[in-house]
Amino acid sequence: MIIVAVRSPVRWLIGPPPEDVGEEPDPRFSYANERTFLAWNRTALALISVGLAVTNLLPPFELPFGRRVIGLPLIALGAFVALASLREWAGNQRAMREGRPLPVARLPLLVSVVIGVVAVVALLIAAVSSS
Amino acid sequence: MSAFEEETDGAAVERTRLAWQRSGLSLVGCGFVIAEGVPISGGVVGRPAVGLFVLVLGLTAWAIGLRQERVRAKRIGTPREAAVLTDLAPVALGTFLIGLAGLVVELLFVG
Repeated sequence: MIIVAVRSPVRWLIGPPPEDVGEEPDPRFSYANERTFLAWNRTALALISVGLAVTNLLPPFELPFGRRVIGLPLIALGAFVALASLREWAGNQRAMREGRPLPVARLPLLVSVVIGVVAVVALLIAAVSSS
Repeated sequence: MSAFEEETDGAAVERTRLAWQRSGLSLVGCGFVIAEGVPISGGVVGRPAVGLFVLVLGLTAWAIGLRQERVRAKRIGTPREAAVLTDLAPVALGTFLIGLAGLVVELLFVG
């Protein structure tokens, strides 16, 4: 029942299941794609964990909401990466099965930009708060 | 299939199994932390049910990793050897829900 309930949103998010199109590539390529997905998944978990740690474990800054401004974007990015990595896995797998070039990966740029911006904001907050 | 190809196939299976086990361990760790309690301003909030859910998710990922050795390794060279969508979607959705729960808790309950 749960599987039926999540099937349509998953289809909407990532398109048709890769195993329905084309032909199986060299299994080593499939395994590499699968490991890439798992690595992104751990990245997502790490982002969520760090976000939670920042908002809960750091002593408060002098600025109001200082910890949340740093932590919440990281948690949101982690949640997004968890879903986006499934989409990337499916896109890569479909491309390999159909003998097309791999689609352009946008996830690395997004993650780099968000982490960079959060780091700059954290630096400013820390600089303003320290007396 | 040459000896080299057999060797690299075996290595690919093994690396993938290890990746699943690392993911499983990460989730089990998260599950313990959630169940045991996260210190927030004004006390410690533990959510045993959520922690247990994450823990089970992690153990499932670990079990999938173990299964690779026996099931998937034999499938190499046959039409169905790679992960299918239903193998990976639960892991992605589970992680997404953990993040969503974190956001909701932060926005609603943390002062």
